[in-house]
Amino acid sequence: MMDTILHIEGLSKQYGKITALNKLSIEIPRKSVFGLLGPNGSGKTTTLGMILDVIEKSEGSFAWNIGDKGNERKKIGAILESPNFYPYLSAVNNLELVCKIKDVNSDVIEPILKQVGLIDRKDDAFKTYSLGMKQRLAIASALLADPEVLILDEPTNGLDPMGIVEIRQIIRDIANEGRTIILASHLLDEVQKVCTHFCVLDHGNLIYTGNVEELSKEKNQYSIQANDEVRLREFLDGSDQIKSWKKEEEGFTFVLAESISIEQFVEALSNAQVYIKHLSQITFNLEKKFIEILDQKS
Amino acid sequence: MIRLLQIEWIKLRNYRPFWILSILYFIGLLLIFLGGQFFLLWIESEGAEFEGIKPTMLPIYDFEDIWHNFTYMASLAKIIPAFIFLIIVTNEYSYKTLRQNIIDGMTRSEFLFSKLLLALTYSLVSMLFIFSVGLVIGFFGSPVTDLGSIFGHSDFLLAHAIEMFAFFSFTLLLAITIRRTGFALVLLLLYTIIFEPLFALYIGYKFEGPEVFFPIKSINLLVENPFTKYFLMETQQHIKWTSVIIAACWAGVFNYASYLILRKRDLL
Repeated sequence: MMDTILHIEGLSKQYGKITALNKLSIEIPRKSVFGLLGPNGSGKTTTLGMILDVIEKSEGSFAWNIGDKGNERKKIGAILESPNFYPYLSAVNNLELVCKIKDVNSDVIEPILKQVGLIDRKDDAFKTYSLGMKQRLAIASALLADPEVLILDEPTNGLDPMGIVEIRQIIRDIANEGRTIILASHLLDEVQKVCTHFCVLDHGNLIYTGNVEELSKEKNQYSIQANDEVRLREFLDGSDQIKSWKKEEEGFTFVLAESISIEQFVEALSNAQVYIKHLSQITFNLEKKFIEILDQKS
Repeated sequence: MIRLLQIEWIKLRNYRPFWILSILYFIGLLLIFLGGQFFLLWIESEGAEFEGIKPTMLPIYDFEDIWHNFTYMASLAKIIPAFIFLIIVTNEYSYKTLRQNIIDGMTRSEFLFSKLLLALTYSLVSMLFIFSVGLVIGFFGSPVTDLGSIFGHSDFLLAHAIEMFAFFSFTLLLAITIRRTGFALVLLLLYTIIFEPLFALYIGYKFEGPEVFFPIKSINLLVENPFTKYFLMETQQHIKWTSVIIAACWAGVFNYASYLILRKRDLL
């Protein structure tokens, strides 16, 4: 049985006549990096708000499988939308406050500030920080109590390319530490790079939930074009080296049987006198999958 | 409880407006207390007399009257600490730190309780300040300094703390309901200075009596005007327990309403 850290059952949020989230039921595996995907207004932040107790649910339930009952949020580090701190307080003072709320010793502050690269500005007021520094402080704050779960809502929003790279690296490092991460983002490249599982929300409805690894398994997928399309089609149709194939606008895509190498396949093509114009491996692309899922839905 | 107070302390110890306004409030109190004598000197120089008594002969700094006089003067300035408190609470909304505090693990009731502890602490500090200043001025200005006289009528100090706390509770409800500093401040001023006094005046004129149950009126009645006694009019001698009960009930209502709003409302 899967070890779940969060079980969500029929969670809904209604704002008057508008349904922001409609009966969401998902299970988030422990130590997974779970991506919550969806276009703007799909219900990602509403979902995170409800599981963090800042938004009242209209219906349904959720249960964290961490720490003592009632104290779960102290074992969760979270950033919802923008980093929120007291602007007149320094990084150290802001983190000291979080330590007090989470009941942890403030000795952890300096090492964490070092980890996120803010140690040199630790005594400066939060209001003097750049957006990237604010985001890094938010991550430091989320990491303070050695959380079992980290919830990040659009962590690279508004950052410059350098900031995005920095934050992405920090997220990867945290993921490598074996913590559960729930990441809401519309930056699919970002999610694909770090997530193990993901779900797609659209207009408050869950439209897909899956495992990135399983989707990536179809790595034996190729795109091919030949001088003679008819011969190529005949070859693909009759070959036992091919699991499946599909006609595309230009050429074909096919999934090679696992026991066959691409070299063996090319040799077989050559023997059948099919001359290749183009052959390339298709790498798994979450963005493509995402658009496919949304297209299917609509 | 200590943890919640420590949290409030971390939030406030480097918050300059809090210290500036607080210092202004306490200096203001000192000036009001000392200014009483200057005011009497001034009206005497203008030739005023009360039933043949020179104004400077009025024993405003005498033990045991001093506690009633000072707590009444302080009650006139309570809008300043209320303003400070209102800013502190509405800031939690504008900085979105209330939401972050909840995300970090505070419960909504803990958040409310921390603000109430802050209100209580401020009320007690104000009471202690009046007590300390009253003690010093009383020793210099009072002809009687025996313990019985010094601590006689000191129950008004307790009334002052209750008055401050009840008024803070009203301010807290306004801040939590409105969330925006400017609007909340305008409403606080309009309600306490114009709306309720006018309505209470009207109701008092029509029916005589029910106005004492009005929230701000009942809070103000904890320490009534002491200076009427110098004109041989009847005045409050001790803290009135009925006023304490009414004001405490209002404080309870305000805080419970704040709790309900805080519990039910989304924090986005």
